[in-house]
Amino acid sequence: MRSRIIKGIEKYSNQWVALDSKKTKVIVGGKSLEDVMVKMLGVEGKPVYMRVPRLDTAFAP
Amino acid sequence: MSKSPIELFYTTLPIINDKRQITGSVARPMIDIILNYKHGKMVGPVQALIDSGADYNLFPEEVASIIGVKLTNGVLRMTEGIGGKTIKAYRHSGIKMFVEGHSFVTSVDFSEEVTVPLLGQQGFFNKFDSVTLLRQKEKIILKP
Repeated sequence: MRSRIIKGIEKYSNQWVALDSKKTKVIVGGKSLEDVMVKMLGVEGKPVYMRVPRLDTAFAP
Repeated sequence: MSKSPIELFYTTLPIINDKRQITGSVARPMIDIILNYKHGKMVGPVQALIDSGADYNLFPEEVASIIGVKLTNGVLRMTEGIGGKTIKAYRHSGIKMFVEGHSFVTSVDFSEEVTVPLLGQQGFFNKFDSVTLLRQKEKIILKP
C-alpha cells in the first residue's frame, strides 16, 4: 500500500503539524510542537504529530 | 514466545519549488511513536524517521520539555552529522517508547539543533530482532 501525499502539507514546510489519525490531511500547523498541541485541545480525534522537514530541499540527516 | 511482526508503511512527502508548488514526492520510512518519561506526560503519536545511519535516537529538545525531561540534566554528547557539522545533544535514559503494541525502555539524545526525530541503531534498531525496509513496497517490518 503506497501512501499518498498528505493533503495540504506543502504549506507547512519546516513547521510542526497535527495530522488526522489516518495521516491523509493536515488539521493544524504551527511553529512549535507545543503550539500545535495547544491548538488541538478540544479537537475531536487522535492526531499524529509531525515535524515537516524543509520540502524545498533534499533531507540527509 | 515470539511476538508478531509489526507492519507499517512509508510516509510520502511532497517536494516543492519556491512558489510552494508540488514538483515531486519522496517516500520516507517514518513511523508513529509515543514517548513517556517516568510515568509522566505522554507525547504522540509523533512521526519519527528510521535512520539506519544514525548511531543513537536523536530528538528535538521541544519533545523533551513536553514529557518532563530537563535537557541539560542529561549526559552531554557531541554528534557529528552530514557535512561534518557537530551538534550538542544530551542523552537521557529511562525513556519509554511505544511502537504500535510494542514498548521498550530506551535512551534518547535531545538537542536544540535537531528538527526531525530520528530513530538510530542504539535505542531503536537494537530493540528489535530485525528492522526491514521494503523500499519498492514502501513497507516497514519490525520484528520484536
